Amino acid sequence: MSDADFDPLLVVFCCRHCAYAAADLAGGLRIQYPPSVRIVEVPCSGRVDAVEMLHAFEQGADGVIVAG
Amino acid sequence: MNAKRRVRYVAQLLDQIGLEGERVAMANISSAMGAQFAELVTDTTERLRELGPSPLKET
Amino acid sequence: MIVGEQKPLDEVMELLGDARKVLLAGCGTCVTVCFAGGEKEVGILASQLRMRSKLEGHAMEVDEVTVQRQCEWEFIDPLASRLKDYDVVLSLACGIGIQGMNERFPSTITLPGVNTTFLGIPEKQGVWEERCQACGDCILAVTAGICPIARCSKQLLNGPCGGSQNGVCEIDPDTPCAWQLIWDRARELGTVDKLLEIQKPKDWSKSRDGGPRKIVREDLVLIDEQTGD
Repeated sequence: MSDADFDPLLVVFCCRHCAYAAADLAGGLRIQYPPSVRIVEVPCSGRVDAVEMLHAFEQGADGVIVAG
Repeated sequence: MNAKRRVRYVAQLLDQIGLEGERVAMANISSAMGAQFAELVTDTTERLRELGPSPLKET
Repeated sequence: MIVGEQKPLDEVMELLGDARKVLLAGCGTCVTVCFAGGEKEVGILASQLRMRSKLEGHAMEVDEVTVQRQCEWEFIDPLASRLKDYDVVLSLACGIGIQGMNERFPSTITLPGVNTTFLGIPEKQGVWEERCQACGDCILAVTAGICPIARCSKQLLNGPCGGSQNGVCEIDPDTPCAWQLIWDRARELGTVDKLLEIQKPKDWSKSRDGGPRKIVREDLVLIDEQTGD
């Protein structure tokens, strides 16, 4: 598999009140974004611990974003 | 602020392991920023595509 | 409390060598509150070890456990039945806990994942400072509650020395002069006269100079039911 062919698995930890609402809005506005993005709703970006980010990588994520 | 510092810490932890620290990032997106959210994840996906798959998946 | 610091990942990897099954054991007391070896740090290091060993082509299985205190038999005894499943135990306790594990489970190798650093206080969040050297003969009553054994670079009993400048130690500009602190506090408390008495040389035999120390409290030692002794 050449690098250009692969769909990176991107895990985005989203604050319920900010980025998750923004993702919802993007959906509502029918704005396209890659289907390989995985959204995890969290109560606050401060809730995301180091070990949770590491576990995402352990389980095959290519990248992680914490969005608040 | 705490989340940002923690992301920086995790980037260091990844570098120690031999994974690129740049695979983890912090972003500030307000609830009204739907378009920016889509842009962020699209751009990041492209950047990751250039970076290549996580080396953990190849082994 | 006892303050420690996790060893660098490279050193830990070297210590573990070609171990395949590792039990990463944290301690729920001092090293938890100084963020060196509690449940949280165990989780992070275990994840790091799993990923790094996989990347190096010899994936390790790393299980996690944290006991309340590795320095007391009662808390580590429940681990006994699990140990045979592992090539090695990596302990994130202080040096006491690590030795406790080795002493209690002689057929299991327990390796250190933490450097035990000093007896100290969290001065503020994220900053720890040394406060006590366990010298075995406390002199805080004469030194205005501030210990020159632990906090004066030269361990002076009659200070300050000539290297105290603007309240800072000549050894390290980030270290406040302990004797400046002592004199300032004594002045505030009105106990300067105590400092004017010359302190005789300290009896260091009660410290480490007298060899390893031991305390026996006859009133607490359990009586053997058979012999009555």
